[in-house]
Amino acid sequence: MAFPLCANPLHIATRRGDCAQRAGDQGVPERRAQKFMRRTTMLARHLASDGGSALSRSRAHDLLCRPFAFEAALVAVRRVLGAQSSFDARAVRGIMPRRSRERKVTVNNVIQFPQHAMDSPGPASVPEPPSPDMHGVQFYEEETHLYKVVADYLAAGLETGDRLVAVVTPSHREGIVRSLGRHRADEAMSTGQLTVLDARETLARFMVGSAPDPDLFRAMLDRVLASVRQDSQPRSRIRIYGEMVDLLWREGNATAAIRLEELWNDALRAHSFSLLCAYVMGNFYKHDDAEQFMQVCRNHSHVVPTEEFAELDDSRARLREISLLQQRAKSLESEIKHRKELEIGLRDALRERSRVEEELRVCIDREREARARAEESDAFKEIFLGILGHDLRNPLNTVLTTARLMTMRGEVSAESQKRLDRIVSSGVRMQRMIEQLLDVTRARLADGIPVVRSDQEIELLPLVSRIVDEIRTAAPSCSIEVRAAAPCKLRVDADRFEQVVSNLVGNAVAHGSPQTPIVVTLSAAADDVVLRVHNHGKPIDPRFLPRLFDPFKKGAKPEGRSEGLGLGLYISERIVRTHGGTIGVTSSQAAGTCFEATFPRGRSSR
Amino acid sequence: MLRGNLPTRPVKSVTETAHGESCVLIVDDDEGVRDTLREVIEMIGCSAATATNGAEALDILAVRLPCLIILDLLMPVMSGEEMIDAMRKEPSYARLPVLISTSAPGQAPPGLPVLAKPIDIEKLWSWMRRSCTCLTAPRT
Repeated sequence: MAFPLCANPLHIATRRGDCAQRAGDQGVPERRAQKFMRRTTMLARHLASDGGSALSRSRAHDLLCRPFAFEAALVAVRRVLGAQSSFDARAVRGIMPRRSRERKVTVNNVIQFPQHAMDSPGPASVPEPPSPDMHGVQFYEEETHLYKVVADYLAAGLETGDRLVAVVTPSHREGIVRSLGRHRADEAMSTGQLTVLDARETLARFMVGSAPDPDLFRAMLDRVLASVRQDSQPRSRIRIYGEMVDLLWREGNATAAIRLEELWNDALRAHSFSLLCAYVMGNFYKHDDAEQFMQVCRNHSHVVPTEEFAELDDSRARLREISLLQQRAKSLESEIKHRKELEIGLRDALRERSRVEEELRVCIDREREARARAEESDAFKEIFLGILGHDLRNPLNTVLTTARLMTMRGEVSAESQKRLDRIVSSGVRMQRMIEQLLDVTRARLADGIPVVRSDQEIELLPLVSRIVDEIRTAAPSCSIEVRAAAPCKLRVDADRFEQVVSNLVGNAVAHGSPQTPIVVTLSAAADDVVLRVHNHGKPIDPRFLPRLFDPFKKGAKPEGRSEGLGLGLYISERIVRTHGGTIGVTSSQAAGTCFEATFPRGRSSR
Repeated sequence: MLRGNLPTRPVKSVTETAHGESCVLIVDDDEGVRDTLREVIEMIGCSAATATNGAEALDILAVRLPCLIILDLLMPVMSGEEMIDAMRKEPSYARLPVLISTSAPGQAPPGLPVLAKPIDIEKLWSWMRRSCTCLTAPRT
């Protein structure tokens, strides 16, 4: 490598006879070897003298019309100029586009002369000769491109006398043979220079399960290499094109494909051959493929992009394409990032949605439970109302009627009569409580206290008088006045109206001062009839006033009520309300306590 | 309004033994109510037959027609209202006076007199005095 700068590359190349030697070693016929060498040395000279820029277009075409020639020329150039600082790699690149115009850039020249060798400015720091032990990978979009690339790769080998092995699928075999030229391929196969193996069959020889077995692989390769070398020149190179990795990859077994690449690399260290792999780019279109794509690239000493890049004519276009690709990669990356964010958002939304759905489901369940409970409680209400209205009342009625019968028959002594009276009065109290409980149950749980208003207006005074008379009889010490200014007629449920009077007057008797009379007033106006019950005595505790009519609110029940359940006011309020009226109370030490129930004459709610 | 004549159709011996010349038919599922009512009725010299539900009462009616039916509403097997419906289909029962005896007067079928429970004894007696031929007609 220690050639002076001024050395004539033609002579050096010739004298050293590297190329000739190589050509001869590889069994190239003499005439072709001569031609080959001539071209090589011419190119070497031109490249050495003026970096190739002086090459005319026709000369370049002449020299470079065949890829193997270009390859060989560059081998020579690099051999000659390897250590020379004046080597201008750009010169080589300068040739490339012109050549490419005539013929598409093919894989083997790029592979055999990796980009760094051509691109590195200044001293060509290529420490080793273009090793035949290269492991190249060609990515491709269209199979026609693959056929052409492989055909060129094999053709270069044919020209240089390499032994060729193609491990291909039947369909690719056909395409490659067509691209290479059927006659030429047949000839190469018949002479044993080209060996074609079926990719799937070969793969089956060393695959164990879903992974390649290293020992079986080595054994397979040894067999193949041995048979290939059998009748070749001792120094002829071996070129292998293999599709087994592509096959594995297409079948989704990327791990095995990468493992196989590693096995190939191991084999490359043990044997001397060059290897070309090819992957369809469609294998790597997903973002997640990036890591495996990188791994594939790492596993190869030479990487060739797909035809979309390789077919570009000049370096400027390539730079533009690279810039474009860089930009596209960047924008795709940000697009992917954006999409991932969208995806995360979408997932969040979906999660939120399923959460909402779950909540909804819980709500529906709860509602169903509530409905079941309501139905249960409806059934309970029915039973409860039945017990109160029928089952409890009937025996009590019998008790009371029987006791009264005994009194009527006069069949008991005066002493026993007092006991009988106790039975009757307790029974009556109990009866009243059952009635109240029934009313409250209806008001709270069922459809309300049943009120049937009369069709005709009823004179209220007789109803009031009757109740007052009853109370007077029960409490003879009380003084009760009834005042009615004019006839008070109203459409009303007479029994329920009496119930209200009975409750209010009964309360007045229970809580009023016995010294002052209780005054019951009926007054009729155009729109309503008002019933007032007034008594003097200790006023109602103001704290109880707001909730006096609702005994179910805490603290609403005044003390000192033992006669009944304390539900009378609540029931009265319900009855008045059902008639469309209102009930209120005022209470003070000075003015006394006055309950006032207003019954409207007009339409009521019921 | 009242039936003056006794029914002419043959009377089953069992019923005759059980109810005799009963002029009031008490229909109530509560034994206490039945017994009390019967006593109240008998106190003024009338007789009473009893049935525990509407169906039993209809069986008795098929044998002998009373002057007055005291009818409860809520009963098993056949309720008071169902019995009234059944009676309305039979023309010979059309003029039988029925007194509804119930704890819930508001739920009584319209158009029929109601005797609220607990029974007002005097009220029942006055009803019977107006309805029963055995009280109005000279007794034999």
